[in-house]
Amino acid sequence: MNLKQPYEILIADKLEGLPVPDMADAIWARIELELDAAPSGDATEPANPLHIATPGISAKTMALLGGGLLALVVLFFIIKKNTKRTEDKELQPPTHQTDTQNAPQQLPATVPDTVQYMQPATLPKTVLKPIDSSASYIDPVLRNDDAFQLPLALPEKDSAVSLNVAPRIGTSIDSSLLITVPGKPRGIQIPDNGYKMKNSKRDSL
Amino acid sequence: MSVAMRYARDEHDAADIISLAFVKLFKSIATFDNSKGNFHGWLKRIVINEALTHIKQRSRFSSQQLDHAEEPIINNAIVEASDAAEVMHFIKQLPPATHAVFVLFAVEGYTHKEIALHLGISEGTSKWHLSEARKNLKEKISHLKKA
Repeated sequence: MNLKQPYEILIADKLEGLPVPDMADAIWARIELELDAAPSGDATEPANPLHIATPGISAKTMALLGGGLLALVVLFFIIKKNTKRTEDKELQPPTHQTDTQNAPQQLPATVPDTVQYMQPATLPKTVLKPIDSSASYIDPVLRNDDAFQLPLALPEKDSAVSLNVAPRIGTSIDSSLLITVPGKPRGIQIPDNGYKMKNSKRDSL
Repeated sequence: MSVAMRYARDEHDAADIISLAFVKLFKSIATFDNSKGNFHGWLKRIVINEALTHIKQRSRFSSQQLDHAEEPIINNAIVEASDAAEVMHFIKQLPPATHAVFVLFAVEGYTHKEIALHLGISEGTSKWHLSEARKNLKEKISHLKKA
């Protein structure tokens, strides 16, 4: 009784190939009908772990509340953004439109090629310095006039170009040119005997 | 669909079983555990359960006790010669409860203990239904041979 008969095995094999009627459309229509008719809070539904049961508040109410809250947040951000734009416009200084045709020409960004900068590493033996013809000063540095024959275009007096001119190390200065200026004595000079107080009369006290 | 057809009286009955089974499937899809078995087996079990529910609604499983019964012998050649629809036609002529027990035992491979558990009957009742199914089928298939 607990074992299958041989003909039962044959029947099982035959039933595997049982022709199936084409009723897919009817079946799907029925499924759709059943699912639409099924209430949302069906007890047979599996418990959703993400669902938080709130007593007294249905899912529809929760959805409405959530949507309203979202709309409020979006509205708040829009208002805040508009307010910020208005404040920025008020604080912003009036902009001047520059007329490119009438505007004064700006200085070229690049220094003309004729100007050569003298870097400390490439200093020649004779140091070149800009010379202002109107100024009279004593240049302690010896000059070599040959250096001025180089095709150098010296910057103008008020030019913003700065030259790295370092005094020549080891240049000896003629001692005859040095002038010693006598300094003004400072303080009161007290001779040695000035420290001692002498009482001419002992009984004067 | 072929699973539902084994338990149904006709194709409309099978369509009802399938649609209700799919509704249950959609509602309980979240409970499907891949580690317990494959999806096809799970779906087949849902369809069988729905079919058995369908059979229980239209028939009453009387309590019968049968520990031992003579087993009728059917010629395999006759079964082999007949087609699936013909065999199914004979099975559908069985009483619903007997029909269900026979398909569960002979086709699905359930034991009497499992059948008893599924149908809410005793193992003896399951055996009795199987014996009744075999006797009926032998008689019908013998008629087929004579024809």
